[in-house]
Amino acid sequence: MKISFNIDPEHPETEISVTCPSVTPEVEKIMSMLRVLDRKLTVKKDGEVFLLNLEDILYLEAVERKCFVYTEKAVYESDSKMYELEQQLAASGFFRVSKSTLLSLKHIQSLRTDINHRIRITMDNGEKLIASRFYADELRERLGLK
Amino acid sequence: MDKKSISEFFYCICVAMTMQITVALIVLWISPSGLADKQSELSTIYSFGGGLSKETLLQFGIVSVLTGINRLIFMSELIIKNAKPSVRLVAMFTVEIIMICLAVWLFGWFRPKNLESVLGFAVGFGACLIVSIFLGVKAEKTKNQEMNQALRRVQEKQKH
Repeated sequence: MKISFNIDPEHPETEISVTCPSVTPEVEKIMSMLRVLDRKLTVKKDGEVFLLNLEDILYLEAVERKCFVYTEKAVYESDSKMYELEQQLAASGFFRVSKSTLLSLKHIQSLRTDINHRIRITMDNGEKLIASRFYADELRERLGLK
Repeated sequence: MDKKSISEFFYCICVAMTMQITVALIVLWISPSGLADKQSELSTIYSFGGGLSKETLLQFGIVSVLTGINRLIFMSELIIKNAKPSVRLVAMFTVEIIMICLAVWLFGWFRPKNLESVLGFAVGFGACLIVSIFLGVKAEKTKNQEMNQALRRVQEKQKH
């Protein structure tokens, strides 16, 4: 893969263009990473491809090797793996609350302690998620409580 | 079991021990002195000369350890994996009350037929139970409040 970098003070904004002979999984991955930088995530629903604003995503859940993206109105599917999404979305306020769930901090409505040092999380749409013991400690740390 | 669970287990034992000593004191305080003299033939709780006897403290210690185990069974996921917190709480208190009644009968802490003793035990145990539930609920509310305030602070920071 050839990477070129061009600094032009006269160019009004940063522009990234990808030139390739065909759309391979590698190219799709690059595009997906670039879109995250643009605060967007590529997802699919009923065969259609959508570009979701990261602000609209409540949480992401991995079920049987598939990754589902939940917004207030719909559920989409992402081709990326959970660990990839975790890395890509970390800077946008997303964090892991269990092995299979990644959520947006800004869409948490309330938190409540649960048994076994877990945390019960209520999202903006009223859905309830559980932060497992290990990740609950990380969440407390993130909130500055540890 | 990790360090946190072990320290919680010992904390629970200490609380249970304190509760039992408090209940014993309340039973003694309520029981008429003449009755306490008679009761001392039955249980060492009432032979208070130099404080609680080793035998009584050992009995309290056994019940405290059992209380710790009871809490561990119902309020962790070591044995019971899936149960609602409310169901766990009710089950834990039911087992605890049965266990205390068994201890009263087994160790002969007071004559079950004597109304003052039963009343003293009920008042003492009930008061300790209410205080511990009140403190538990208050501590949980404070924790939740702190967590939600911290969450709002972080959410505000993220906005800017």
